[in-house]
Amino acid sequence: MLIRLRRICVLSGMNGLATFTFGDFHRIWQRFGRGRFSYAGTKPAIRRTVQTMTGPADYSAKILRIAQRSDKAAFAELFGYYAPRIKGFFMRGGMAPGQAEELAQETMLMLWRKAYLFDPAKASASTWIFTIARNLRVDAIRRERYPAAHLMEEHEPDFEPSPSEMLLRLEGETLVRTAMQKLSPEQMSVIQLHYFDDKPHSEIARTLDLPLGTVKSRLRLAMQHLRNLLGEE
Amino acid sequence: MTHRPSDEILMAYAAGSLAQGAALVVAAHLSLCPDSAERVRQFEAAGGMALEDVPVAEMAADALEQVLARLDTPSSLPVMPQVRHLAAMPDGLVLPSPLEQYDIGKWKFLAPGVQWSSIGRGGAPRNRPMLLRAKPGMVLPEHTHRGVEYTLVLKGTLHDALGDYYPGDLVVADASLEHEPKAGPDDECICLAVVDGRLQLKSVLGRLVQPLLGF
Repeated sequence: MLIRLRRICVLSGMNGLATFTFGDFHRIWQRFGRGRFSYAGTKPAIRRTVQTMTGPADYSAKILRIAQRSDKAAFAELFGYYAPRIKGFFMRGGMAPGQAEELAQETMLMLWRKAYLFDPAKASASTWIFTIARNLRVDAIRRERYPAAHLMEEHEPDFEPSPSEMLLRLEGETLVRTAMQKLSPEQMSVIQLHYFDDKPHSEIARTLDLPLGTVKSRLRLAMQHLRNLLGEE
Repeated sequence: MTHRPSDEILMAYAAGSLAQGAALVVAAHLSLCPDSAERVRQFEAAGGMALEDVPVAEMAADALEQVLARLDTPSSLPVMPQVRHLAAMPDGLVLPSPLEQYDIGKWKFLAPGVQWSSIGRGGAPRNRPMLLRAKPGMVLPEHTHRGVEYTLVLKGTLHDALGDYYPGDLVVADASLEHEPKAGPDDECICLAVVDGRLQLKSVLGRLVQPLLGF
């Protein structure tokens, strides 16, 4: 269900199959019980469409094309898909639209410049781009570098991962993907709000209109559930 | 490796919501612990999914054009400031790579048999990470916490009522825990530590050194 919702993105620059108005989307959102909270300021600017079937692997290949051939067409396609998501991600975390726009552009510029460091054996395109956006967000807010650069480290460019290694890594991400999909929407949303949007318990309680204790226990259970699904490390 | 940070801490680190000092100690731990590093990679993959899932916000009409125009201009990369490592390390101790980009101050007296050295310049002094160096058998200054204390063993061993900790182990002690970590009897112990939140050194000695540390 989440995955289907996930397939919804902006139309701009893409060959959409069908366009939803925001009202359509909002009804679907409500039906899945996820409409109780809204993200201030994002709604009017949003146009949504069902995404065409471009898989994550295609986006990895596009980043590689930038690394190998400075391919601007590949960059434009990545921009069309990721830039509005990165901006949405920053705005969910409470950033003003202007700064979110600017930082989303910076993230895409960083993607272009650091493409040679992308290693498809280590991470999917979305995961790698997420870490760039995350680090830039922390740097902008704290004016200090976030000490998390392991996906930005140099690797041997000539050393192509073997198909079996690629498969292993993709399986790793598939495991996470499957696990995340098995969380209930309620569990998913508290993890989103608390960790990725960096909201304190009290604010989540207000947003979801729940007692503080319920938020804390839901978060604890959500992490426990995720741990069980991923298996103990 | 037995003492690893909780999934909650690793998730916060992967999401970018862990405090700066704590994130540095966790990053150092990850460079020594493949299990924790793998877990963080999983949580970062969850971040990648969260990015795909996020309600999109339309970019400005000329955004792509603007960025395309900037692609060929060489990046004005910020010049990394020269870092200074003033604290001498015992032979054979290689500091974890995440510490490389930070200034490390000289060893200073903290308590008999215990020295400390500050790391970096940013943030409030009390939340700044530090290196602690204790002679064999010496007790690290007793303190209670109002925040969460992260201690990563880099050399030697550390012991408290709850367990024995070896290089690479990360001990996370929250406010409910009043622990008195002690260096092992045979070797000096070097740790990387930070307090996320306010720290109160409790003993008389603590009260004496508290003003010196600026807590």
